[in-house]
Amino acid sequence: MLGSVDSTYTDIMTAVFSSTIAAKAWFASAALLLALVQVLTGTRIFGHLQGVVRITPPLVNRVHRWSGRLAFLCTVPVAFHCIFILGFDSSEPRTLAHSIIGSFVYGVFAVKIFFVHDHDHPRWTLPLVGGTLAAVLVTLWLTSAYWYFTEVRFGF
Amino acid sequence: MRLVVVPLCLFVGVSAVVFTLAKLSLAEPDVPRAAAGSVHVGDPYRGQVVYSQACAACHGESGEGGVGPKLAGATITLTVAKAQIESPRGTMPPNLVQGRKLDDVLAYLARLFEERP
Repeated sequence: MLGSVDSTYTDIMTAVFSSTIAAKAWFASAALLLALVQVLTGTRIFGHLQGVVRITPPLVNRVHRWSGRLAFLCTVPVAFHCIFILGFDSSEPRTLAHSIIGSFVYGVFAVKIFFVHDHDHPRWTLPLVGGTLAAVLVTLWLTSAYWYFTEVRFGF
Repeated sequence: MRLVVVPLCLFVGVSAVVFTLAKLSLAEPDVPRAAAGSVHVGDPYRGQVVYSQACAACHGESGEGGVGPKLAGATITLTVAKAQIESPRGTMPPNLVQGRKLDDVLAYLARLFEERP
């Protein structure tokens, strides 16, 4: 239906990466890395890991915000590829698990953004939702990029 | 109450939209009918992964050739490609891909054959 979009996307991605799948794996890995920064800085904002994350507020808050924005941007090409090109795939357990959990990722993200802007919630809410989002991203990475790097090829 | 209903609606609503779009897969690529001919082809993106696993070592990651012949832009029909994969001649090993993986890799090969330098 949107064949020209697919072809444009492929041209852009293969200008840098060897294939669109490789591009997806690397963007997902970048998002995962930034999610790790999110978890560390988020924990620091809540007063923990002071010995590990040695930056202090307000810088740590800024790093947390920008790593979140960049992580979201990294997920956009991945989501486009997964949602619009590959679609929901139930042909094997790995892709079924990836498709189901992938359907939830932006839902969890929307809830996290809601609680970031809401100031009338219990203190444990944001760590819980943020941790859930990080766990979802880790699971998605394990069932896609990690699989690609270990089962197909590791490279750009 | 607001702290439960609003996030729940957000979660269900956004997830439902993503799920629906994924089921529709609006930009799913088509393999041109002319290229496919009477050969049954699958999904070229899954085929790309199968190609990387089973074919790229000899034919090159982008079909540029290597131990095996160049496939990008090659004037080979899918019928011939399928026959070569199923009953290989020359040094190509047999039973590299079968079943749905064969359909998928043929879809990817259709794209490779269309590439022009």
